[in-house]
Amino acid sequence: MAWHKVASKSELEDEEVIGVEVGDTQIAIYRLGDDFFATSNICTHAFAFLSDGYIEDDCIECPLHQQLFKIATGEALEGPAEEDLKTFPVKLEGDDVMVEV
Amino acid sequence: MSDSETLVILGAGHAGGRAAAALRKKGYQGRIQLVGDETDPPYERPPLSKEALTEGADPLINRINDEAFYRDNAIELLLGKAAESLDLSQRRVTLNGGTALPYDRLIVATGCRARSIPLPGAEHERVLTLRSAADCRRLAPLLKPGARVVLIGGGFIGLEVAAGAAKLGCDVTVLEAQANLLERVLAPRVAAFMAKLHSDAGIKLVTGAEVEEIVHGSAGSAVKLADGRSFDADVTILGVGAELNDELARGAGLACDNGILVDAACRTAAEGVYAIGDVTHHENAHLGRRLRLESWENAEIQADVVAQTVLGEEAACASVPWFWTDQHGVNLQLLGYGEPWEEEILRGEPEEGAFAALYLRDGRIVMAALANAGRERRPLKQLMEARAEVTAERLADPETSLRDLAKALKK
Repeated sequence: MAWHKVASKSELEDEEVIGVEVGDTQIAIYRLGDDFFATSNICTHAFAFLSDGYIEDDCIECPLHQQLFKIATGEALEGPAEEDLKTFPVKLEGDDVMVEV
Repeated sequence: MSDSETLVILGAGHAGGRAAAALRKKGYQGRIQLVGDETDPPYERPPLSKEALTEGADPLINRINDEAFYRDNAIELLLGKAAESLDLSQRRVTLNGGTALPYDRLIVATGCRARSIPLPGAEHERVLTLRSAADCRRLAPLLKPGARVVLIGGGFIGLEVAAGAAKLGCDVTVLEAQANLLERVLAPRVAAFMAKLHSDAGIKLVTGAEVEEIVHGSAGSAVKLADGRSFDADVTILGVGAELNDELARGAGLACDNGILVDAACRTAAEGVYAIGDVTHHENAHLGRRLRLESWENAEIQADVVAQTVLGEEAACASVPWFWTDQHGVNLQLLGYGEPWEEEILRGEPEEGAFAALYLRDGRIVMAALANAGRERRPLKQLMEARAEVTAERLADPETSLRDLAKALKK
């Protein structure tokens, strides 16, 4: 486990998501207001990048099958997936968005 | 509903499996028997023409719940059991072999099967269809590099198979009866975009093809057209659509017309008898008309709706239909189905591989095609379901955000 800088705060607007790679791990970084979150970037239902998805009401919708996950907790809400998304701790250091992987 | 009642779900495919799970998740207390003629447990079918064919994935990769779920939720799975008859007045399903299943409520989810065509030579071990996991297991090992693969029919499933086979190094030919590929389901611009993906990948597309017979020799087969052309094949795949598994329902006297007729809550005219999935010709409360949809989404929606209906809740099929297909690395999503349209708006560049084509009638979006643009689906669906008025000029402006338009609906 180690902290990695994955983005700058200014890179993300409110309700924006980007995909990053830390080693072999695909991670989605989200901004909701002034809060930042990180989850696995791969949908637990079928292979798709959540960073290509749509954010609404603090949830991310997978671009392939409309699966909704709660961004803060990774919880699988409506849709075909049964498994929650893995989440990663996030901290801010100045303008740096850091993720522990 | 009482704890002592029995609910039988006829058909253990996607819709049937999902319905059983939804009933339990919503608190249904009765006995549930889920009966299917396939030996595989319920699974989603999209991977069969995608990763299960091309990447060696298990055809059951998207199983609908694991074995423990059925056990823990007291859902009795009766697999490999075909139903022989249905008696509505006695409330009883009879399986092949004579086992009788009495029910208090029945959900018919018998789906479709691959259409067969009365073509000389079509009944042969080198002529396959793709509908089930078992079909996929038969077909996948035949798609070897260099294998000559001929697809009869250029529908979405057939084209996904064509794309997968080409990726695996097969020599692929698609024989399509219509003058243009996908002309019945896509607007010309989108159909042309898809056709180009296939020709760019080296797939031979033969349109206006009238297949006359398939001739089989010891070393291979040949698919012969009425105009004299002939295409050599190591494997031939029939992809000419689906046929309804509605014989049992018809035989029992349930009203059928291009599928079992149900209302938006999935009720047939017979009390306590419901139908869901591909086999239904159902009311859509949003569109105000009947639809028969062979789609993943429809199985999901109707499974959820029927569970609510059985539990006495108000529910209705009322969304804009949505489909997707994956071919040659392009994810194409479609919103709306069979709507007349007046104006086409293009956002993005097809040449660059990602775009949205929007179709307007009376100042509203009635259909949309999204190529590698799945993020736009949700706002578009919201705009369509709200019947939001929007001008072509506004939509055509790349500066216009669909997300902002959809958000404005909520204010």
